[in-house]
Amino acid sequence: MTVLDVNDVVVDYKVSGRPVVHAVAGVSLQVGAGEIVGLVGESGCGKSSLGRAIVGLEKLARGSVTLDGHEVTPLGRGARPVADRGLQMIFQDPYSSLNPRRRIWRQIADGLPADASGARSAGRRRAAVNELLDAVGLAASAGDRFPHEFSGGQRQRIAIARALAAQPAVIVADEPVSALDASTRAQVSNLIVQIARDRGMGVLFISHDLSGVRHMADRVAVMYLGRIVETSPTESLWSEPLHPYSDALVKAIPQLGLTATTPVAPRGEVPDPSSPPAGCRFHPRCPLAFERCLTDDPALVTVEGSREAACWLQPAGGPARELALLEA
Amino acid sequence: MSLLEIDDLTITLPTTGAGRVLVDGVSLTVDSGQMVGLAGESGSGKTVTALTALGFVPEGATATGAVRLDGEDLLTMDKKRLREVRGTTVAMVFQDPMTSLHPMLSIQTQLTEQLRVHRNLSKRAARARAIEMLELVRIPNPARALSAFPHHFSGGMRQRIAIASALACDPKLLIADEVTTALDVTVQAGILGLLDQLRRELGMAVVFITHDLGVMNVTTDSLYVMYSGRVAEQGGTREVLAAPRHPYTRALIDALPDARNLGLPLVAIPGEAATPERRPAGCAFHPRCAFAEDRCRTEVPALRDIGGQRELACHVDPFATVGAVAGAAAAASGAGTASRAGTASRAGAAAAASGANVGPTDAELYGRSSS
Repeated sequence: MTVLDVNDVVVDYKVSGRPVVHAVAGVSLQVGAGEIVGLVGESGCGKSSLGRAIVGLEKLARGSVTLDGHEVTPLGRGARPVADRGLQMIFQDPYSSLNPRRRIWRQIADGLPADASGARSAGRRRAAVNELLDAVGLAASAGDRFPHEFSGGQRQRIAIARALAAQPAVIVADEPVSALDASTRAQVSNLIVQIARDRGMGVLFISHDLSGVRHMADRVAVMYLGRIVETSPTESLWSEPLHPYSDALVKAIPQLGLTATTPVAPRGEVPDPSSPPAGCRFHPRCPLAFERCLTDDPALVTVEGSREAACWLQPAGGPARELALLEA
Repeated sequence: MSLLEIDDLTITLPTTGAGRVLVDGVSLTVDSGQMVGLAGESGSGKTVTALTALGFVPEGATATGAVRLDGEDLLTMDKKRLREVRGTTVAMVFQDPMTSLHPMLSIQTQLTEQLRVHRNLSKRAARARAIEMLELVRIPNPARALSAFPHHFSGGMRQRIAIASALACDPKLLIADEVTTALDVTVQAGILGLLDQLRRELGMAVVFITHDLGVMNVTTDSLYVMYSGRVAEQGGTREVLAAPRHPYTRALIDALPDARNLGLPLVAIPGEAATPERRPAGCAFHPRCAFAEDRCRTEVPALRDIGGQRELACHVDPFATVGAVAGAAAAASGAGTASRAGTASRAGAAAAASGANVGPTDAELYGRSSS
């Protein structure tokens, strides 16, 4: 069941005297209850902008974001509407996302619904905070301490507890484990998976760490220059990527094992997002590009039921593919 | 004679009381054209060790042992000679190219300064050499790149420029400290390919520091796994990573998301990493080790030869039967694939993860490899 529905979202960045940058150039994406959706792509592809736009931290130039069928309003100066609080975000840096001068329990309690526990009494709120701390594997005594007393992994647990306080239906997590050591990363990754399963909560997991995403996500969306180029169940993406860019990403991961070889880099650099290439945005770097790719922009179409790809070579075996293979 | 020979290096920071030991009796050799990896968590001493190859010792610290580069001991070398050696015999590339390149100086200024100083080249000759270096690291339109500034380039290109700068004076040894950590996998692949090409074409040796074991596996020839300032195990990179003998190496590998453990919770290393301030007695890893015995708590294990050109510092050596371990790993990967099949089993795996909140039990941690 779809909880979060992102529909044709465009995010623009305007700097006077410069061309408008479409950081997100028309993205549609769904996240179901209890589903972990990975969002991957190179830096500058717009994945963080999309994440921020979903929770209302960036203005939408076009499109809509709905949570449980109700449109999410952009964050303004006032308090967030109660209906939108089901959407929470976890940030990459647990050192800057917590207030250094407030005790942990007060920061977590901020997120508690005022009337959910029946009263606003400090005792009830404290009890609710203790439950949340327990859920993320921290002792209740942690609530009385300040952020500097914790390690990076513990702080990220605190940030997760704070997000959970609002009883969200969906959490957008932007590189939540990237700043952590390998071992701590494993603990926090496990925690996010477990919470999504236990609470039936949707997670949009934004990361450039493809191996981590493969481990956690049920479904993965691959983003390139402001567009989603493929959405596939995680294992299908790895075993048989539909888009040449997904293929390049997967092949670039260095592997363990006796026979692993130095990974191959796709040719060229990521183009300037303010002037994306005509036609398919990936065509200057694509090993399979043919005439049509230079002029026509492929739309994201459904392939094989549960998968989507934006490539003129899809569906596989179609006339375009045979033509390209002939030319290649 | 090897290009770099670090011999029984110990680095101590004097503090009140016992003093903090950053590096404790590390020996390491690097031959020409060889890529040697240093792995370990933050605080393991890998960067401090590598920096001695440039003659750098942390401020106020005392170093004993020897660090011989091309036969000359850097620890006793005078400052003038050290300045000559840095940049010409040995050079370094850091993790963040935005901090190693000066933001307000042109690429030309940054690439030619050392050539003018160390090589005594004329402006024109230095410029020609700089263009050559930029071509080598595949920067498009090098002549134009010289008049540009660092912010004009993407992260991957900046890192390539930093490498060009390090290579300008033809060093025999390059220290690469987490050079691809901040980069995307695609860009990383390009840099790794470049380093491999340079060492094959120029015969340059590389000391490669990274915590990414996948990167380590595909780039380096030999590997030193460090923990708390000591070498835990050492050997050919692929052999060590395919059949680790030290419980710490094993645990590092098990914490990685990998095709082997899909659908299973990741196995975190229990406890906190040892720091120079708080280093446990005996084997520093013993509080986090599932195999620790009494003597591990009191006696520091010596690095000993275990055959196959490998060395290990572990009293217990629980993975001595390499063949059995490989077999168990294969069986475990089979089980992992099966459990991935349905979402129901995925939920089961998640439920198992809830028990792992406080750190997995010994059985969970090592069940897959020792069963």
